[in-house]
Amino acid sequence: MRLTYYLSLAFDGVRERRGRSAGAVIGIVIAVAALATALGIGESFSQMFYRSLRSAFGPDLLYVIPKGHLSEADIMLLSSLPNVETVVPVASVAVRLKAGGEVAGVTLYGIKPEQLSVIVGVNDLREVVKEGTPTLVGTSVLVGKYVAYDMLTGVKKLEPGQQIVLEANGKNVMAVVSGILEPSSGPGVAFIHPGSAIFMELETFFRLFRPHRTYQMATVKVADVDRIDETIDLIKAYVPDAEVFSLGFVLEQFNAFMSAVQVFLGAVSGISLAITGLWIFDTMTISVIQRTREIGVLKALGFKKHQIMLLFISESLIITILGVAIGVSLAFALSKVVGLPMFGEVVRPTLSPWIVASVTVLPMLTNLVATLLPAYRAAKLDPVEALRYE
Amino acid sequence: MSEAMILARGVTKVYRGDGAETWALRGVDLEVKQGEFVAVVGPSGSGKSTLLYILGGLLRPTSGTVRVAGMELTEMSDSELAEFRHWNIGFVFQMYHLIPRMTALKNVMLPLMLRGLPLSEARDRALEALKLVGLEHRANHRPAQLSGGEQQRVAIARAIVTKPKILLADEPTGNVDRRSAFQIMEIFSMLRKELGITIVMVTHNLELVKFCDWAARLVDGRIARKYGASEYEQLVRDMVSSEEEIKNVFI
Repeated sequence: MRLTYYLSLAFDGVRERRGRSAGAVIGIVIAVAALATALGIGESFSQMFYRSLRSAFGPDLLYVIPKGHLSEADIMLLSSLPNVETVVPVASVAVRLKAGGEVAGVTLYGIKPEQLSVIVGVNDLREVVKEGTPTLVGTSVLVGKYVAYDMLTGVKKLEPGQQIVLEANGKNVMAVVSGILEPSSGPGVAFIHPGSAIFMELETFFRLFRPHRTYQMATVKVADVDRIDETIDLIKAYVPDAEVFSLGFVLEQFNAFMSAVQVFLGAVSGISLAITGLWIFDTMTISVIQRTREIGVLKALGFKKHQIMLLFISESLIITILGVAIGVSLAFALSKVVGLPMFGEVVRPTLSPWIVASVTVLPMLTNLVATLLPAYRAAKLDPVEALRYE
Repeated sequence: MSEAMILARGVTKVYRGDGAETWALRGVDLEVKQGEFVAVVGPSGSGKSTLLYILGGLLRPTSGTVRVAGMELTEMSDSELAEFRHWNIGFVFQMYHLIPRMTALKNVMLPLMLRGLPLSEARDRALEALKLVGLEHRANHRPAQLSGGEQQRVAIARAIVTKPKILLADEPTGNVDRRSAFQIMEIFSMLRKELGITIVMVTHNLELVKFCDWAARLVDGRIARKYGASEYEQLVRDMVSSEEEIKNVFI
């Protein structure tokens, strides 16, 4: 029999049992939309995190994070190691920013002016300082855009040239805003968010906030990426109480984390798919019972077992295709609306081809398996008993 | 009218269930020639329908041989039997067994769809079959919109649309009024005459036997006697002579 005839006969069956068919379709729509959205959010999160990690951890960057602090001597030692091109030490303190009668908590970083471009990830600071000048001298500071502006109302709170007060450890320090830094997406190099931070020249920072001149961490840029493992071993040997993180290491950790997330999503989606499968099993089983005499007639007309099975499978297929089509469309619509705020941006579901393929193929396979038993029962019916069924 | 279209020899059928055995047929011999119109009569439970289903390849005999249209049915697999039914047999049932959600036309098209004919050809042939039973104007009606007699005529159109060699009818008039019953018999006679179809009809209604070439009276799973066209009165006498059978004579 032609495929179009199977579909035509199956469509008649689906239409006759509109109520149950609609219920099954709705179940599949919900499962597919939920699964696609969950996987899409996971995919977006993964992509965003990869992107952030790659911006934070260039392939030639290492992070040295001590249990306590890094001293000037440690920094000198790191700088002298073979294959080390640059060492960017990071010193920071949490301050209370007082300006125009308002007080806000911000992180203040002490940085060598020539190294700020490495932290921000640009060649020329003028690319990211659109207001004021990119100068760090004495108590002049660069403030992030999220600090200078009220991000909810868009009202500007700080101007270049404005005097501000930075309070830390009970000490008030007067500073002047020299420029406003544009934000970057993701955590940025050394997990510093330039858009949400304040930067001060390192020597002034030490003089005013940290006289014992210690650092929380250091970013090490290597000259030859192929020799990065060798450099990691050397750093661990010379600074034994510090952890050294590289892009490879972090990606490995992240991959392990994402695998666990995917297993979890898989389990959740497996449950929702199993429920739709049970619904289809129930619908098709009832359908076979209700149509027992009809199956007897089909057998009398010469339908073979596999043809009767295919009729029921086609019905299940039509219900599933309808459910998947509506479910995927709904997921695409939801992907424009649903989002999770993360790292200063809204993560929306990414419906990649493999996600669309998965949420299409998986319900079809599940429902095919769920239909096999009722369809097989129908095919196995004795024609005479089926014809006499009351 | 010389070839044996149906040849059954020593056919028995035993139903086994719940530890009990029920003998539906006890060694039936039957020969029906090509183009004959034969009635199988007998009381309820005498094995008429069982015999019909065995001749149509819907049921396997417990023993004996069944040769239909030159093919030995007892040696066929389920799949071969399905193929055999499709190409050789048209069934008509007492309860019509039309598919309620389909129009009369689609019901009749169903065997042609199974055959894989193009849609337009299947539609034309189905309309032709409906015309043959006088129902082409009811093609787009669903079974629920048709009378019992009309539903049975649609069922006949479905049975003959593939131009089968044999039409097997199980109490085809059991659910219709007298006028429709005669209408159906006229259609059967026309099919036999114009298409050369061999017809075996199971019936309780002795009035209809007059339309047949001959009749076989089945009693307790055996053919008690065969009656020629001129022996109708004798058949009625034999049927009414058994008190148990009286209630079955007149419908």
